[in-house]
Amino acid sequence: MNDRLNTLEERASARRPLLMVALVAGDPHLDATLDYMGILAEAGVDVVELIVPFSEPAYHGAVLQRAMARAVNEHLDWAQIEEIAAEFRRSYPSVALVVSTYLNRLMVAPTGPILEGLQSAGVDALWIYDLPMEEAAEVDALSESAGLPLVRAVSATTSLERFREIARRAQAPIIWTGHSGGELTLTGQAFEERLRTFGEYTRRPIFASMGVTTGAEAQAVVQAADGVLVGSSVAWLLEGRGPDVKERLRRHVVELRARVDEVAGQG
Amino acid sequence: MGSPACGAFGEFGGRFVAEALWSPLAEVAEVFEEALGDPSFAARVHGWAEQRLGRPTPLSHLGGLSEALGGAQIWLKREDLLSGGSFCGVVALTQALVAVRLGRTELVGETATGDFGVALGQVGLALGLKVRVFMTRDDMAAEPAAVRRMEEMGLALEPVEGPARGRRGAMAEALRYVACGPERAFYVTSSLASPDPYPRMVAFGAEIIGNECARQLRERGVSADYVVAPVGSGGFACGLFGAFVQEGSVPGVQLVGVQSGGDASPTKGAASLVRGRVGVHMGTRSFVLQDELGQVVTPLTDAAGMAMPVVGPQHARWMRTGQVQYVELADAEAYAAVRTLARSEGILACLESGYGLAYALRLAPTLPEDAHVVVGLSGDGSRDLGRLARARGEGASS
Repeated sequence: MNDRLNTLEERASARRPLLMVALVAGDPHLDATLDYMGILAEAGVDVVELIVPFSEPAYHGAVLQRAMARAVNEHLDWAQIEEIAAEFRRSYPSVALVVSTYLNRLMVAPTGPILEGLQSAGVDALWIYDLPMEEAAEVDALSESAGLPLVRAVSATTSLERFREIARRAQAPIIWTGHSGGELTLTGQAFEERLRTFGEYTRRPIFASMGVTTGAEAQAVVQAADGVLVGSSVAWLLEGRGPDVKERLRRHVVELRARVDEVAGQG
Repeated sequence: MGSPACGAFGEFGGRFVAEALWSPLAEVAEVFEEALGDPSFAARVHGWAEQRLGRPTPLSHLGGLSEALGGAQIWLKREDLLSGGSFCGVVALTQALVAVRLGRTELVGETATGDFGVALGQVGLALGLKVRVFMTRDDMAAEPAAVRRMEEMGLALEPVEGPARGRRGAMAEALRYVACGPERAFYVTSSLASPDPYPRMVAFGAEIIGNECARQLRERGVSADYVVAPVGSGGFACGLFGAFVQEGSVPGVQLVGVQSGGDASPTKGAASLVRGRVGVHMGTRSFVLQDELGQVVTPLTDAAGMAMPVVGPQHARWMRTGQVQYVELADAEAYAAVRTLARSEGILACLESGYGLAYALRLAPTLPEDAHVVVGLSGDGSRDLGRLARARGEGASS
């Protein structure tokens, strides 16, 4: 595990809440992506999730589906993703970077070299949304060989027995995908209890993706989870554009950072 | 490339889904496998198919058309004569009976042409289940008769906003609905191109079609030389070919799957097996229409039932092993074949069936008179009357 992922674990152990923010690469165009990643880093995120757009984003809600539909028009290939990652890494050596996508996008060429290229560019982990543990044997081997660990997802339908196996394999943060199309499927006390139970079986930080759009919601999530993943509210903000979009993005992330930090040291 | 862990058809198939769907699908697979070991389940499927769907369907010999073409004898497997007007009932039936075994109370599905929505209503209401059908607004506008029929049946019809005709948008919404109430709602697929165990469940029901056809041929003392069927996602063809594809089961028969080539532009049709590459889409590893970056290409074809960018994993395997030959024909040929059948035999086939028919119309004159070509007719063409008229206006057929 690399230093950036180790740092995330140390922060989680010290009850310092973690913030991950997702951006769709190429939304609305490639030139803007690196600027937006820089804004996230300077506003204090712990992890940037760079979503490589797919034409059929079945597991994303409407806002991110629209963002990906815009970004697909940029026709990004893996060499361009590597360039963005490498440039980001040069400017922000301590901010973790997760690249995420759907499996089909990794099948256009031999997958091993794609993973090696991402790792060399400074990407810390890869999240493949439609690759469950059981179907991941080939990619697991390639990921290990490339030194690019996979982010593992869990959900309200994940049993404790299954979670323990997922946790055993996890070499990177785990993400609780707690919503489907914006509908929360597990809320309140049940969510907290499940996260607490899962947390007893892993050292990896667990981020929760719960359709969060505000600082207050993010704060509520990190009462139970090690970190919060925010995605659609950023895509929605960028969709609106306008001349001050970068400043509004900065303010949004600063607000998220401040509210989750209020929970630091609790619990 | 190795085999998927779940529901593998050679190197194809699998259960490539988000974590939230894994355990619900594993539960469905477990119950389906239990059902396969229970003789009463198969008996129930066959009993309902006979009593409520009107099976078996006839195998009709087209003497006049065969003579006019001057070659092989053409036979039609007549799914158009079923009460719902298509083969879809038998696809919905197996899944609905699995839902009952699981104690679910609501069937949730999607439909493009409306045929599957009607089938879901027929089966679900008969079993005392609620039925909810997702359909894009474009498809609803294109299929007013099916929409009216579903309304009269009292189905919960959910319009879906979506830029492209076809099942994909509606499928995503249906899955999202089920994810919010998995303890009561059961997702029923119309597509063979789905995550495991759906391709297995679809095939289990649809194979009734091929088994009937093989039996009917034996009863008439006829040995088929060719069996031809249209292939969109491939559920109907999988069912028809199932009885013939096993090595040695029916020696000497050539199976042909016909896909839509759209307007015959090289990059536009729906021929995933002819022009696609191996990928993962709709939860299964199969042949996918995609560009060089792995973005899925939206197929353009007049036949909504053929407009799928990915095909069921069984067909991918048969393509790889050479057990089935796959070809593409342009929409214009399908229109012309539907019209030829209507004028020569008085049978109105759906446009999807027109692709298989068109292939048979080309093939038959090249074969001797004692050869036999079986064409799978997947449904009735009443819903395509407007398209036929427009196509004639545009000069797509003679």
